[in-house]
Amino acid sequence: MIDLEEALAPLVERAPAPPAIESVARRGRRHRRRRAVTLVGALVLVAVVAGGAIAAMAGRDEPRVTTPPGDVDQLRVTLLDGSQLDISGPASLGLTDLPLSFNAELDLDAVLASGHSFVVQRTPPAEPGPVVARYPTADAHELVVYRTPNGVDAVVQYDQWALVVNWNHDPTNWAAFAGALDAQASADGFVVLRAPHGWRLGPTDAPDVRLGDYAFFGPAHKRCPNEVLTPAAHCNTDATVLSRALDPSLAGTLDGIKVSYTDSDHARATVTALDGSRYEITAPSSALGTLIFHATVAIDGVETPEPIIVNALRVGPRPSHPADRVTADGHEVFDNGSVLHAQYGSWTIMIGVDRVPAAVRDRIAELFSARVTPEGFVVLDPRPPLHVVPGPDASMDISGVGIVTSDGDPRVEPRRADVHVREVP
Amino acid sequence: VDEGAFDSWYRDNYRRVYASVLVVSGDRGTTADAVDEAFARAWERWSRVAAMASPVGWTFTVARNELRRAGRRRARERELTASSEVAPEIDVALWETIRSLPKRERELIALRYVARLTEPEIASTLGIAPGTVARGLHDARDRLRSMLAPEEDFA
Repeated sequence: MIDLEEALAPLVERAPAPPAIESVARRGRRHRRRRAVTLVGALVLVAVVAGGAIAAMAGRDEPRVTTPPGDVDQLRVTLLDGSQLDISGPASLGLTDLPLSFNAELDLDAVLASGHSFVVQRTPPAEPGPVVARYPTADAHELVVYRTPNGVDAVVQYDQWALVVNWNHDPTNWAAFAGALDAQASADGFVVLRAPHGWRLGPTDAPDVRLGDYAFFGPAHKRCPNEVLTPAAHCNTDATVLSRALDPSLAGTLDGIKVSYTDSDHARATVTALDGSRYEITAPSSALGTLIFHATVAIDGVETPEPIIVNALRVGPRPSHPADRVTADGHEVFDNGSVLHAQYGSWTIMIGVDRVPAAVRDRIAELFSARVTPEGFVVLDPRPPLHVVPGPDASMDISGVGIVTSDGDPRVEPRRADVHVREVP
Repeated sequence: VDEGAFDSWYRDNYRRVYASVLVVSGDRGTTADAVDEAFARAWERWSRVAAMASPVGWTFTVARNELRRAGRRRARERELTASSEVAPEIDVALWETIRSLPKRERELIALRYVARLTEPEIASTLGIAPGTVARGLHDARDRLRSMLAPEEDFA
């Protein structure tokens, strides 16, 4: 076995001696002076620009929204096709308190004229008239048609959401339309529709999402980057979403509203971490293909050169040499000098034991135990005095994206707009 | 700057950081420039750097960025990979094999086995998840084994 630390040690031993500390300090002082000059220059520039902006704004009568620095509201909404928008803006805009509604159209693929467009909103239509007809929907709900002074309203109630048809009231189409309605609740409580074979779910002229007097048009509208932008219409940074202020007096606030789009190809998965805690991950389907869990274990009273990290991954490397040890629950353990491997169902457990003495490796192996859950995940169940250590090393990876689970709410590192995680009770 | 504390840390770690950066860059001249620059920056910000989880990791990162910024590293790497002019103080075959590893794996080997950082410290230094570090090190060791001595294991 080659000890890499030992083999590489001459690189350190024969490295040049450190230059005199005075030369380092001299160079450091030079940096400090240069930084101070740059900082002063930047402050002067900021003052000049801010002063100009304040002077320019003082001459206008347009309403302005003042924003306390650092106070930001964020919300994520799931659109009717399952894609998602993350919207954030200054707390002063009260985005999270504004009423939400969604628009789409469900249409026979080839017969555009028969399309029904509808809005999904929290409030059902006010004072519907008498019921004219009822039609069963594909998802075992009911499309109820009411007579109103202006004609008819057709409504399906999905828990807190009402789907209200606002175009094509031709009664000959109601049964077919109801039969094509197949909705489910998203994990975050929104309505997601699936178009059955032969039908198409698409955008209407209305925005995909309306949030108070702000409207958001997703990529299916193809408005970005082609639409001529005005102060009341902005494209987001990757030109997928057009944001529009429906009230012209809000045009000046659009700058502060950031929007990102995640397409409906994302997938949700509920996973069980090594400590038994469960999480729902929403990510692009491709990213969920690789999943690695991490935890830290320790033996009471035994010190190791560094924390013992347990990694669990599917389709791990299979050692070719014979097993060296057996776990407490009878699984074979292979020791390659720096890692102990064991196989639990489809999971390879890898326990990092770099620089850990052989006797301690023996102890770790004989106390190690785990179980495979009915959903196919592996949960550590070590025998005392081996135990799972709560700490910063409890985490998981999906395709190189880390999810830290041991430090308050789970968080994604590095942060990605298309990966979301929440703990499932 | 607490000169005493910096001085002692500097003397203890200069060679280690230098050797780690050398593994990544493969060139002594650029390594010395970048490492000296990184330590000067550490001196300048010592109160903050000293409080970090891994001041060595931070200094390594600054040096690596300095190599990149100077725009010399890539050319040197190509040159060295092709010509292997460096006569290192370690086994030539091992040096050549490490030099042929992908850059990220070279960084992991340098930080783990030369700078002797722990996996969580490496994760924090490189801004990646601990599992990615573990997997990368495992892959690097596997690659070294298959290239150098298929029957050997690496610790």
